[in-house]
Amino acid sequence: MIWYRLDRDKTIDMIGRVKSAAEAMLFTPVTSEAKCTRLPFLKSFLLYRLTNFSSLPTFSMDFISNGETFYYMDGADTAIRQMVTSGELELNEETIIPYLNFYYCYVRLPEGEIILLKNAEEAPQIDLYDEDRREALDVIPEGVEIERDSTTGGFLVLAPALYDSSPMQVLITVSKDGQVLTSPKRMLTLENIQ
Amino acid sequence: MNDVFKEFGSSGAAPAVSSYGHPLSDAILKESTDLLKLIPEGRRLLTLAKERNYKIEVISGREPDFRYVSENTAYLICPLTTKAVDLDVMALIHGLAIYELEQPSIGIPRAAFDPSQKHILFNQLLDITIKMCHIIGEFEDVNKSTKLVDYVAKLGHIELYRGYRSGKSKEDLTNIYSVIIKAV
Repeated sequence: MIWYRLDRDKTIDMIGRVKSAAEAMLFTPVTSEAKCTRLPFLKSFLLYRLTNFSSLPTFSMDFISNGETFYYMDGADTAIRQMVTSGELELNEETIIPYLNFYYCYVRLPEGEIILLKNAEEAPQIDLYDEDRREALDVIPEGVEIERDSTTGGFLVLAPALYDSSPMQVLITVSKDGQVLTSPKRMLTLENIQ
Repeated sequence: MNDVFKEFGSSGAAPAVSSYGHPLSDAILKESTDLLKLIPEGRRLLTLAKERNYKIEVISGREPDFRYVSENTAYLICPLTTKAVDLDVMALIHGLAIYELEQPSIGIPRAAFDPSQKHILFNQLLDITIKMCHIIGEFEDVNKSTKLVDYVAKLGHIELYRGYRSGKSKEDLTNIYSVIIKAV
């Protein structure tokens, strides 16, 4: 992701907009920095990250925003649902993989952690601390198959993934409104990856 | 096209957030406390938190984590969808959040955001990671469950955990940790 740092005034403005009365200690203008990046599957909203450097390791909170309203990424798909409601979500053959990378990175699922893999060889190298890899929205899995369902407007995606710590081939059903259903198909080994 | 340089809007008052507090905060704290009470280090940390009036709160967030915010306050971070969260992990995080508040009083200073304090940060993180191994080890002994061992493996610290459990010296653990976080 290419991040654009917000200047001091915009950072202060953003803190003012996202600061909660209850947790005022989370961010202060002196020790915080804000940045933003584009999300290819959203028309005008951006992803914003506010980082507090006053304690180490640093602490960040992410939001989707149009500069007016900030939706906090709270581990559920609430902000994505808001994007659907406001007609912001744009899913097509080009944006579906970045969307899935984002979805798996930001939405906590009962089936555990899911990360689309470049290939099966990548599986042992990924751990929970590898933030950069987990946030790499442009990673295209080798041999990925994307099929558009012309009747529903949704997508079927067959791709290698780290599925609750195991490399699997998964079938992902994405509805037109961005709801994601992931079904493991088979375990991947270094030999049988396409 | 979405514009990363656009000005923020100025339509009236800023829509301030009322709270990031997790809606199940009380239940999460109660259940993680109950789990911590099952192990000796958990009981020690809970007693310490009570004696020193540490404030532990739960906010919602992308993944389970903890953050110190002041000398006596720390936040546990828990995804809104609690079905996706293991309570054992939240208990571990609860224990570590208390320990992070304790650290300065036992000679583990907090690093500031300054490259010259890299070694302080290293010691702080090594110390809390070893404490994580300590807590997980006690849970493993009591529950005979490998749930948290799987979690430490996911975090990339299984070798450190095994080293800790086999009684390796602090120096050996430091070397293992250095390799894990590529600090060598």
